Amino acid sequence: MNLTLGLFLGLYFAILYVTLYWLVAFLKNRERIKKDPKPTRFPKISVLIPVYNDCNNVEKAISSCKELDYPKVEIVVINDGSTDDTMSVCKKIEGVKLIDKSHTGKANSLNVGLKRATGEIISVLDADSYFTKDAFRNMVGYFDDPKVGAVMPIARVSSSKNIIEKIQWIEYILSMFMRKVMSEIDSLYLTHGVGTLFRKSLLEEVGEFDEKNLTEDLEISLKIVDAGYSIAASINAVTYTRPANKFKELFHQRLRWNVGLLHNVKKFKHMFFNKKLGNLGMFVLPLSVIWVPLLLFLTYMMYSDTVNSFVRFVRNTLLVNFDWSYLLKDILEFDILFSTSIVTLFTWMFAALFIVTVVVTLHSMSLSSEENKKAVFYTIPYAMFYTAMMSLFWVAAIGVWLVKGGGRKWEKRI
Amino acid sequence: MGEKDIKNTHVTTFLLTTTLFCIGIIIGMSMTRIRVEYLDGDISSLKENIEAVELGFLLTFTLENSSCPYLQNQLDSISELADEVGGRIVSLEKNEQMDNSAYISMKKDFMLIRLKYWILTERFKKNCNSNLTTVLYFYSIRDCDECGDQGTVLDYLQSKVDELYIFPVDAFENLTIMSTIRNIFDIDTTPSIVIDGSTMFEGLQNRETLTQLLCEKYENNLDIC
Repeated sequence: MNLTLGLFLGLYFAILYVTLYWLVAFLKNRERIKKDPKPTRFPKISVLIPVYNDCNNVEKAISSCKELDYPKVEIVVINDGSTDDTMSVCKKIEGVKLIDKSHTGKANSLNVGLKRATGEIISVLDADSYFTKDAFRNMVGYFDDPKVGAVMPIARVSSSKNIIEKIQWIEYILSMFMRKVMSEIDSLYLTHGVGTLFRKSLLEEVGEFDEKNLTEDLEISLKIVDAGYSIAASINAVTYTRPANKFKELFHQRLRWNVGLLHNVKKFKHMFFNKKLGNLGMFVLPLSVIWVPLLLFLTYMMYSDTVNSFVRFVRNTLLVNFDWSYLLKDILEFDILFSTSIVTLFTWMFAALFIVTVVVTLHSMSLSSEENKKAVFYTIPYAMFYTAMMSLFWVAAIGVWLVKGGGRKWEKRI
Repeated sequence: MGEKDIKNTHVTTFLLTTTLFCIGIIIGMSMTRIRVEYLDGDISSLKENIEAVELGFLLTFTLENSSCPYLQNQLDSISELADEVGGRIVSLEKNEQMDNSAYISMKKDFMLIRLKYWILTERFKKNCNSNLTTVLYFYSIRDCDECGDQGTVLDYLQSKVDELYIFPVDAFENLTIMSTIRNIFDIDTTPSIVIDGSTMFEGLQNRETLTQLLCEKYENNLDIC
């Protein structure tokens, strides 16, 4: 057996293992996934809404907090030096604790808000996001377990008009499913800014939000799990966020996320292969890094075959001067027994992954009682472009990180 | 989920992955074996056909019995199978990097058959005053960017011109006869083609050039002219 073949087989095994691991973890916990613990008490929740030049969306975010079916909610809006009408829009809304400050970034805004918040539980809500009515009721019961430090709702995208939004629609619904499975095996290590709940005392214990970090939500989550607490996720608590609607916007967002992840991997390297953290330290966290080259390899293999076939077809078309009768005959004479190679096996893997994507999407849609059944067709652009897009974002992120590092100082440049 | 459950999840996943992986390997190995057996069968059948043509030649030229139409039929009947086997040989070598002794010996057998087929066709042309066109096409699987293009052009022309016979051979196959033929036509690069056993062209010959040659030979009595 030569080295290349051995490498191929090793990668096949690794990809298969990772895929099956999540499947087995899901099957073992399938009964528990839909259920949230019933709350025995309703502690006061302070919602922190940092806002910077987002006067169009902040009103909806605030009104969704007011409409929450929850007894004790405090709304703290932190205007991060907006230069548009944000401040005047917020001033008009009653029942809101409004803080106006100079532009210092999201993490600093959250820390300022945290000092003014009086709730036992803190919720972080981006200004372009909003809650559904029963989100808090579905999440708060998890805090009955003293080991739970944060609870994450399921974030969905609020718009799916163009292809970029449709791809994210599927991405969010699949990640919802994955994060729920991760939480069931005590291996969830990230939260998002779309309504996550935190114990205030824990935020104070682990040291607030890191103002120099590109992804302060990931950083705070890692601090929480590093301190021995777990992060839960509720599939019934739904929040919505505005997705990036242009490729450029998505590129910048993912570049920030990925560079932030790399930066945090370095910062929390002591957590990797740390036996004390169990499955999280020994498997899930290392996987989050190992997955990147695996993704790049998988993308290269899947697309190179397709791209090569397409290039070959275009060349042949030109060589035979667009004689379609010949070209069609050539396609129909495809010899399936002799045309399968180790490369085309990746095309089959691509097809298998597409089927898995459709099945998991349908299951996730059913779990979250999704009404838009046509949304399953979004899996087509997702399957076609997602892995390629993610690979591109990762290549760019690795480049940026290697050249410029991962601190906040580079955020404006990326 | 307790530590024990998590361990169980890994054990179950490992067993499941290993099982599926082994099934995949077994299917892959079986597929390769089936492919080689399939090709072996085709090559045996080609060998028998070539022997039948050789006998036909002996019969025709020994008894001075004019059976040229019979011989042409025999040659035609081999053409399709030879092309099919040739394509499969290339696929196996390209896709699976086959380099075991069984494959090497099978490929050598096939190249010998193809050369024999070309020689018999040339002989047929000479003895039966046939107006067929033969193209001996020298390709190589590795380090030949233009071989794919040349293959497409020749295959296309063959599909359009009934009188055209293409004989693709691996230029660097380790056979004494191949070295001899290469020396006769002074071939040291691929792709190269030898038309009607005499005219040699090095490098990629495009559709227009070859169409012009054929049209000249057949005085524009071809659909492609």
